[in-house]
Amino acid sequence: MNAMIECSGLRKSFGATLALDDMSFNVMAGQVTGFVGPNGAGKSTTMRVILGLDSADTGRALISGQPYQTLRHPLSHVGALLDAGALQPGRSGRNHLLWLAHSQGLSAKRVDETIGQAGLEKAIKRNAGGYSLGMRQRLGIAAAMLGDPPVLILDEPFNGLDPEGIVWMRGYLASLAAEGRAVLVSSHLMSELQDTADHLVVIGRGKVIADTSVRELLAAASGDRVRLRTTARSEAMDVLAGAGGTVAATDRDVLTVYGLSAERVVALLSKNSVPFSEVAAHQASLEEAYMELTRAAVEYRASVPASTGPEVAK
Amino acid sequence: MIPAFFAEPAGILAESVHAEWTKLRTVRSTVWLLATAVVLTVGISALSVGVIKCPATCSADTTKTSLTGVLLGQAIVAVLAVLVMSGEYSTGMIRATITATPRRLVMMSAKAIILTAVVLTVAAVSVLGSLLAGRYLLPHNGFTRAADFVPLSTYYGPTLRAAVGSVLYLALIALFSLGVATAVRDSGVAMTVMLGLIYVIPILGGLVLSKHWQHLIGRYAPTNAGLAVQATKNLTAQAIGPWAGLGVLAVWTAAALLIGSLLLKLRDA
Amino acid sequence: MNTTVRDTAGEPKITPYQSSQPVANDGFLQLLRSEWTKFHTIRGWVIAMVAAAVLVGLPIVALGNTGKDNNSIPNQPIGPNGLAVTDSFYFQHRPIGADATITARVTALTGHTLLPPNKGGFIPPGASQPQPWAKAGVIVKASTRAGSAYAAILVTPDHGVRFQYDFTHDVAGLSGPVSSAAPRWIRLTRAGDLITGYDSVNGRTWSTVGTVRLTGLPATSQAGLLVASPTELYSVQQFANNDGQPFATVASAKFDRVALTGAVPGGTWRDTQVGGASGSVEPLCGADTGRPCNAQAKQRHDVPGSASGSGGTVTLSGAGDIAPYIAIVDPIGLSYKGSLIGLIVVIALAALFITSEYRRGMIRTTFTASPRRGRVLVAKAIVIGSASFVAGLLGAAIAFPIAEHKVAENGWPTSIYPIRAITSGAGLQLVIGTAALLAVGTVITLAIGALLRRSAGTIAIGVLVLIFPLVLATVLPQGPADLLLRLTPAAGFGLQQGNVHYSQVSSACLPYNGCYPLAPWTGFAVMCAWALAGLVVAILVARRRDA
Repeated sequence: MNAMIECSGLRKSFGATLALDDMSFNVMAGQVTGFVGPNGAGKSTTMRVILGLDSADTGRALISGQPYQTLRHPLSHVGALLDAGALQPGRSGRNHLLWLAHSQGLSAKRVDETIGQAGLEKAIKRNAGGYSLGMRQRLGIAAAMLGDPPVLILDEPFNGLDPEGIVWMRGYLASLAAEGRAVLVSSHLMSELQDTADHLVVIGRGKVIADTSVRELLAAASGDRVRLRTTARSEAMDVLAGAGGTVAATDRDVLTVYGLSAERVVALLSKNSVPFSEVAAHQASLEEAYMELTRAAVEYRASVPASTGPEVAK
Repeated sequence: MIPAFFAEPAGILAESVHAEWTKLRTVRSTVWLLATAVVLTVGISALSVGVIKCPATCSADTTKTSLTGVLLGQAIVAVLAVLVMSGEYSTGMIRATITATPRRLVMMSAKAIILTAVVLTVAAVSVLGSLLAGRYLLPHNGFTRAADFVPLSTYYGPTLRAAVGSVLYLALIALFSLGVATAVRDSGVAMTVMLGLIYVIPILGGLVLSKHWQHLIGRYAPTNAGLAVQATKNLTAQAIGPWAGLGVLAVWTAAALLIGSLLLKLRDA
Repeated sequence: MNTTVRDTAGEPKITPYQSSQPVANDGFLQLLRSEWTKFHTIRGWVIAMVAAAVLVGLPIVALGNTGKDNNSIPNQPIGPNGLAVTDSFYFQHRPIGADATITARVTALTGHTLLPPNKGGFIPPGASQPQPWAKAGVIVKASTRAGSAYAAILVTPDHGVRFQYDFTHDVAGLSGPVSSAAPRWIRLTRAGDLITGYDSVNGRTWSTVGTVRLTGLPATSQAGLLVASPTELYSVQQFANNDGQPFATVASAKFDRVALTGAVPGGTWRDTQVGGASGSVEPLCGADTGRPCNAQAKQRHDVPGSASGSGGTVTLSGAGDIAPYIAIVDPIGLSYKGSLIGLIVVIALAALFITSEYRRGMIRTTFTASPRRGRVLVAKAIVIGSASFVAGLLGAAIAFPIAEHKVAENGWPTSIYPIRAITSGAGLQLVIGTAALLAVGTVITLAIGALLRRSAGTIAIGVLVLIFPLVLATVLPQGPADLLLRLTPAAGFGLQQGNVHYSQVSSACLPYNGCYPLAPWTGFAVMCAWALAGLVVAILVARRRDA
């Protein structure tokens, strides 16, 4: 019931290029939903369709159950940041927010509140043409927050932010979700969303590859994988393979064990008196999980990265 | 600009010219603009020739009427020239261009050379097309041999002068626009200035009631003087002679290029 | 691997956030305010708009100051209201007292254009037909002095029966042409100062066409029959320039059943050529017009009238006209063309107002905030149109009294070019018309910009659509030139005419003299139609196109 953005069966082609191919997903309230995919996967197109800027050939996108075009004062329903550079350089940041506010019947007071929240007080009277990319992103966030909307759609908001800005943005997005807002954040770098996103919609070639909570994705990607450091490599491989595990030698002293829990590995090695110096359950990074997911869907990958090619024993 | 031009090793200029040619021809709007220029110039010329009739207006300067489309073609040529320079400023590509060719005057010379070559070609096609339209349409409107009219031909000295002059006129308008665009950088401002010079000044020159001012504008305003080269009849009634008029436009063009290149050299990119 | 998790059971139920911002009315006014904020917060645009106001006003004053330059003005008779008039006609008359009635029947009205003797020249269209506003009828006139007060009931070839008085006033009566099969009875009665015109098809049933009180009409005035036929001016291409050429016309009218009753003091019927025989041709080249003369234009056609009659039937023929004098040269109207410089500035502003949003991608922010794109474009048009209107109004209004006085100072006679108040009809038309031209010009440019999305191209097409027709009209023969100025948005420039035109007067109307083929506000309506069509197309395309 908490789906604030619903996309169902979106298809759109630009000439011969199929940009969206049956794109369907929902974005829930109270979560930061990461919208991830390689460049050209259709993230921006999907966002433009949701915002009524582009029209889908088929399918529909709803915001709080309504098509965007039917929203009155849409900025009180959805805040969007598509392109932080979309400013007229001769106008100050505050005046940019002011015309947006006037279009929604909002007051200048609301503009100043928003400026405070985005931490933009210093630069706001200067012409936007002189803003750094980071300041433009903050101005874009301020513009998205003008109507205090329950839904936020942000296209690559981390672009151009300095490390401090990235930390600020993460905290800000999390706090917005904690207030019960639905936050859709696109990124082509999964690492940016680590510790920020609660939910992920992973897309490639215009369709959804995965629609999952971050917790489950990580659990699935991590699997039953155990990292083992031992000097007695061949004995350990025999013992663990005999107990039903799959063992791969990943380094001179390091084995990776699949299919056995860390406790079981310790018990088996101890029972057979195989020496080891370290056993650790593996925790996949979001990046790894994502790479695994999108391996098939990457469009513009130059070549398959040379893997270390672990030797596998059974 | 001229001394710097010759001081450059030919190689740098040649590379720069090649780069500008690639830039110009790879933008699709260039092709559209040029095609539009030809079609509209010939079209307006043909329409103008189509509406003059002998005996009603036998005294018409048929060559000049056949070249009426140049009045419109010059606006499109100006758009092209302005975009060649201002287009780079509006997208910030000028920094890449100047990084690639740090000698800015070489860059500007290269643009001028390419622009001149392209506009001369397009103008020649447009002017020949216009004269051909006149040659074949005029006899249908009563401008026949019987009425002492010879079909338009470039073998006739004044017609050749008007034709060559119109081609040069369009090239000068392009270079003039390039100079203005380099000076003001912004395409909107450059277009406004050029269109004001091309259209508003001649209209006001035609309307002003003082003969003194009429004469001054006819002699010294860039496009009024420049278009004198199209006249083949009743030359004494013109404020300025054909080649002298084109010369006045050339002086204006040189001034615009000079100011543009000075500002380009002195200003931060 | 199960990666699709739709509704996680374990998650706590979350209440969606509610916006704290009050939901105001979804008004168009907000959109207007938003677009106005966009416009006035870019300083360069505001400066350019102020510059536009200056560039409307200054050139008007400057052109108004260029002077008459030894142009001589013909000696025109002065009418009852102090303004120059044309008053030349062939008059068969006798004195009447304060209470009298004159009646006549007109059974034929023919006429033709007098062609210059040189063969092979230009032949005006309809040369064998009577001039459309040729006049034959009965008149009561204060005296035979040209310019004196009068009232007349007249038959015309193309405009039916008219009741006209004191040069500028015209009331329509019976319509249709006159012939022996369909004669026209006409009657004027004088009762003191009051003169009433009647018409009839049979001489039995009369209807009143109009009544006028001519105050100060002397007790004894002249009444009688008249014929007049105005001179036509055609634009003829001379070498590279268009030139106006006058063609005198003559008309002949057959009268019978002439009756004069009431107070008729002694006297006999007399024939007078009012206004002199050559009054039918105005100088159209050289001095007055600022244009070189050629042999044809120099030729003047002296057309003395004549009368012949037998057995109660009188045939009068003659040339001339009884009408307000319409000056060919329009110094004020020409001065106002100076506002073209201001127009080109607001064209550029309108182009940037829309295309700069496209260039930076800000149009997406705009359309996200206001998804109804048609309303956005309309709001933009209203904002840029109003701003341009105000700029044009200021420039044109401040320039008006200065230009009017400059014209008088430079020797243009005030009987032909009276100094008018800005609140007079002509003043308002020039000032408000100039402002309106700028406003509608920006709307047309805005529509082009919304379609094209590029600034340089939009400015160029804006100027080509709005201003280029004026350039072309000066080099084309009059027919096609008139067509251009009727059909293109440039028709709107007809508002900038300083000379008052009257629908009942055939006057020389040449584009290069600042005269336009359509009535001023009709031409403006053509321009508005273009703006409306452009805006509709722009809205339809903006709706369909991905932003």
